[in-house]
Amino acid sequence: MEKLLRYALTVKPGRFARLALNGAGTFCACTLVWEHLVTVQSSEGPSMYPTFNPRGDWLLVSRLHSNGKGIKVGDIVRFNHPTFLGVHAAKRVIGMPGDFVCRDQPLSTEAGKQPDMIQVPEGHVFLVGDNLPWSRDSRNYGPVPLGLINGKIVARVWPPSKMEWVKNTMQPAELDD
Amino acid sequence: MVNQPNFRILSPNAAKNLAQKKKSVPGGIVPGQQTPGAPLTPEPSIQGPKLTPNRPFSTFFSNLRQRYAALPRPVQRTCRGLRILAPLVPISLFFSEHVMQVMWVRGPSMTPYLNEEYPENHTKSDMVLVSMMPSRVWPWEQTRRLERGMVVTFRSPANSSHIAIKRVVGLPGDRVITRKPCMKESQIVPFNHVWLEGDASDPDRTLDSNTYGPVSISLLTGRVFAILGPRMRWLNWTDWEAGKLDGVSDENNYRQATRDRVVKEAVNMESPRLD
Repeated sequence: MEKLLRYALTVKPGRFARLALNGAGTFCACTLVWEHLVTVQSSEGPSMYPTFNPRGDWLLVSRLHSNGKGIKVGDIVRFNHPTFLGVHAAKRVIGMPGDFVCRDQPLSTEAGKQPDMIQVPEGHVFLVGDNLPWSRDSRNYGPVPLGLINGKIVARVWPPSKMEWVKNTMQPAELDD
Repeated sequence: MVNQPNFRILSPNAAKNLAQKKKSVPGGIVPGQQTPGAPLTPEPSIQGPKLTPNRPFSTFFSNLRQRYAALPRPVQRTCRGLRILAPLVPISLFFSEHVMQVMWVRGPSMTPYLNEEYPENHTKSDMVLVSMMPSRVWPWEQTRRLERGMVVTFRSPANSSHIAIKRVVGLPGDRVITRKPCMKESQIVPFNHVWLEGDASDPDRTLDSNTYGPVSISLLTGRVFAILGPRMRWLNWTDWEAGKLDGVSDENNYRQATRDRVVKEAVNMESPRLD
């Protein structure tokens, strides 16, 4: 310990400044990568049940898709919750701007049974969780602005037995005339 | 360039190696012979403490160091300068994203306050200083983040690639009497939402909450706290409530009319709180 202190006294202050600058630069670079390229986060809650475990999965989030860049119908997105500050949620995109979606009852089990439809407004998306009766989503609070989306969930990284890419399970319907 | 005598200073080991090389047959393989330019390591047969520590990648780094030493002097100097400047790039990006940022305001929506000369000169744009910090004073101080009269920047709900600037007119729990493009007569601002309006008295000149409804606080990115140009001044949000004009023209007393359209705390809201 004494050795270390003596060593610290011999070091010039310029080197300390360089060390602090390099440290701050590394920290900022790591933060920028975390916020703009890729984030690993654990998800909890039952709203995406068959897809993600309600007890918590570690998910890989691509932040390149923030503000709704390159989002398609069927992607699972991570967004800032519109009614709670600082809360993130993950839901599946059901309707893009301009699409027509059925106005289902909040927390109802059936999909598409209601007679009336709404058009998703410009700059908004309609998000619904996979576990219909246990999900508070756009059926409660309406279409969500694209500016609230801060990433697209790309893969599940933990637990290792379930490591996989998240698939877009929604395929265009094949209607025969 | 001064004429320098052509000699090298050699370590004892290297001198011995060189002497051996001269004695031996040219072209023959000499044990312990070293190629010129390679690091001068002591022979393994020599007893005594090791002169080079056995670190992983040490050959790689010493190789790099030698290559760097072989570069011409001006290149070395620019390399050193770039090495010092390298950490400043992420630091400045981080600063502009989380501390403060300069933005230019375009459009007539804030006209009597920002872009004062918009009716005469459409190309001129005001320069504003935006604080990007999430809390108003310090992160650990429990103060309300937003107040009526603050000018905030946010991602437009209608177009997510566009950053808009408007004034906070109503806080959560307020009842706002809306104006023209809005279809409802009055609107109660819900949890975690604010009512944002432009300062322009002509409703056709501003696209604000009267068009897209209350805006989620999660969409807000920053708060304007100073105007840098063309007329430099601090932005004091209490001026809005107090009715101070601070050199801004206000025809028809429009600001007072806007304040009168807001019924403060029409709904009592316990949770979630604003901060």
